[in-house]
Amino acid sequence: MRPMRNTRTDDLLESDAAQETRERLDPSPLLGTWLNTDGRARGIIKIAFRMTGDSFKAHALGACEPSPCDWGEVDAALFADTAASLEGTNFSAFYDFGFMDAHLQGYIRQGVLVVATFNRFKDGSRRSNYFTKEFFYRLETAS
Amino acid sequence: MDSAQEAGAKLDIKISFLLSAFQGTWLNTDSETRGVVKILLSIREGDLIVQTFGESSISPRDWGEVRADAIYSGSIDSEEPQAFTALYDFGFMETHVQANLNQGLLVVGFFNTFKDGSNRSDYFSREFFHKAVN
Repeated sequence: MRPMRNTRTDDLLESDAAQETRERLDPSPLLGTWLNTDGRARGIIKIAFRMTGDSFKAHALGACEPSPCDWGEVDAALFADTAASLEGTNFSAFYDFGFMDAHLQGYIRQGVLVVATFNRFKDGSRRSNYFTKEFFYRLETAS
Repeated sequence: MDSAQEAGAKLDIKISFLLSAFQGTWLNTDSETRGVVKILLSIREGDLIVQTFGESSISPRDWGEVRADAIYSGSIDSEEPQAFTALYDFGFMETHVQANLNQGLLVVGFFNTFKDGSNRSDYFSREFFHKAVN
């Protein structure tokens, strides 16, 4: 019996010759700083991505008073739009805060970074696990 | 039924009621999809069970059943489920499923990570599902 190679047609390349060796995804669509489109956001206000060596990193800041909560920098995973693409336009990242973990999953559509955050409490508090979706625009650097 | 069993039964009913918004057969809004054609969501022993069917040229490919690993509401003080996550491990690939309800649609993101050393890129897809009418 042949080993399973796909769960749907999208998993397959049009041609095996299309990509002879697995190449690293290009992170450039995500690299840089992204700001929440909602200036009064109560979730993530800013998220930045960079490469350090071979590692793709995410760094989020949460809305806190009187100053933003720095979530720190974590390793993140890059995803393309298709199995044949090399453009990293999607990411996932995981934060473990001890009392709660947050799984961030994001994608770029029409220049907007959409980030879904799945927050799960682990502290036995009465708070419900909750989901948010926020929108970010890229901070352009002056040239 | 003693009081503990009664309390457990009431909790099961409450969980089932809360999860019932997800329960049913969800069909892809794009009948030409090359991704996921159908998702069956059911409730078993208080857990949300996810069964996914991928598009395939002969007949839909049954990915099998997995338990949702977490249910999420829209805020910390809400009990109304809005989203869930689940994980499929196919050996050659892992698929993280993240789904949320939005205006009657189930919006599902699939984060696919290949583990077979093939020349394929890890990829993300997002698809929309409507509830099938019985």
